Amino acid sequence: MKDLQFFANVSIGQYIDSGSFVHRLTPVTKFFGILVFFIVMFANTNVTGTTLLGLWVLAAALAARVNPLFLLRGIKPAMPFLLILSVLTLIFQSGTTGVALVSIGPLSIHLSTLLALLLLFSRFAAVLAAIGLLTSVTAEQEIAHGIEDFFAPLGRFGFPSHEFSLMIAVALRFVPIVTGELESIVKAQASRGGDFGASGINPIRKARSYLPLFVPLIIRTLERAELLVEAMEARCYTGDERTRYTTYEMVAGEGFVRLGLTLFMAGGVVFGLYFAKTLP
Amino acid sequence: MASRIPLRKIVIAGALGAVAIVLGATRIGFIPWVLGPGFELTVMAVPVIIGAVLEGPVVGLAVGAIFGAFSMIQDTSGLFKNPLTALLPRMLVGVVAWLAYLPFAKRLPRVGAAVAGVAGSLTNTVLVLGSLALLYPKAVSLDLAVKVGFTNGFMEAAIAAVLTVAVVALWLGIEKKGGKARLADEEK
Repeated sequence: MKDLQFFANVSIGQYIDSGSFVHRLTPVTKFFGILVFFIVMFANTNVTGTTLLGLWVLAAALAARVNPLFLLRGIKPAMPFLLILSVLTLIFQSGTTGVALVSIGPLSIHLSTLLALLLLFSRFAAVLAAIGLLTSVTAEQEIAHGIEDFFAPLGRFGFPSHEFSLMIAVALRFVPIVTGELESIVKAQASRGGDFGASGINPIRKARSYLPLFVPLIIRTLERAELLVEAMEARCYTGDERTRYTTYEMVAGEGFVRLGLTLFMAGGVVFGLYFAKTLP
Repeated sequence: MASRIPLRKIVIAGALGAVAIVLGATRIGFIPWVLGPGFELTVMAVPVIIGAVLEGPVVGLAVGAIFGAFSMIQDTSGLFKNPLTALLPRMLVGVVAWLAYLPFAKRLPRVGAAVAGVAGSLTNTVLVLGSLALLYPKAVSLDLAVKVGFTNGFMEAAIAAVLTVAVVALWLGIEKKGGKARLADEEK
């Protein structure tokens, strides 16, 4: 019951208007950038590739004039989890082959274990920084439009790109609302003596202790969704043939950015799958 | 041309998707258990199942897609960066849950919700662990997958059934009495 404030340290979702070149790119290009990031990350499973990818994110953050330390702030609440995971990795992988760096009693720390831990941390930091960067250079409205434009080509094959982007926009808008609901429900139940941190190994008891948290959370979210539907229908929302208040023009040099992202994606995949196999 | 998907379904899918994201991000969706970190019981499939039961397979599919996409983004192990392990199983959870609910929908919605909870949760367990064992045999051996499947899978299915029944019964009850606007009254 220590963590009643869930999102105090999260840097994801905060728009920072520095007016840089990166900010002025069209949302489609920004989404293409994050897609490239995840594809390259998927192709690179070792420390070298992940570090290079992290440096690329750092460069993008500097180009966008966003403080990289701000992007990494979200790592703080995850620290206890990561530390427990590292300690467990150190203990359980102490028997692996290779030359031990340090031996304490039955425990020995190997280079491979340290590299695995380094990989865990760098991956986490890279993902956090990349998502944080996307949201700090893309305003909320742009995110919804960007998703719609990004999936628009699929519309030719019958993919409902507008409906899809509306759903994503609702989901993103609901995240802080649901978090707020969750906080107030947890506090309300705790003040009535509810104990969600109940220890013990009986899972049924645990499940039952989660009921007073889950049921109100989902019911209240559904109620809010119904309200939103009513409000939108009252304003005659139909979803078809909508025009936009904002239009996005490609800025000078944006074509080169897209070309550069494509080349980076190709290079990153080739590097990860063929050249980085022998590197740590 | 009117929109092909009703607005109500789009919005509810988005809202339940947000619940899945919050449960994952705050780790409230994971119930710690005997096996220790990494093997917690997960109730993350429950919003997907509830969406499928209340609003049909399209909503189940969509909430599953949000949940899957978010687990891809959040993953640090590399195992869930693959859409075949993260996205596809979670999308199928909604469809299977809806199919399981369908025969009971008219007469026995409570029983149907329980069956959907069990079916949806087991789909998640079997497909996720199965795809992990198939695609990453080094990290997750078949033995480990079967062990985790048996120890966690049935427990999760039971928990999912309890939660699904609780929510679905309450929500359908509210709808019947026509008292949907409780929140609206509160906020006046």
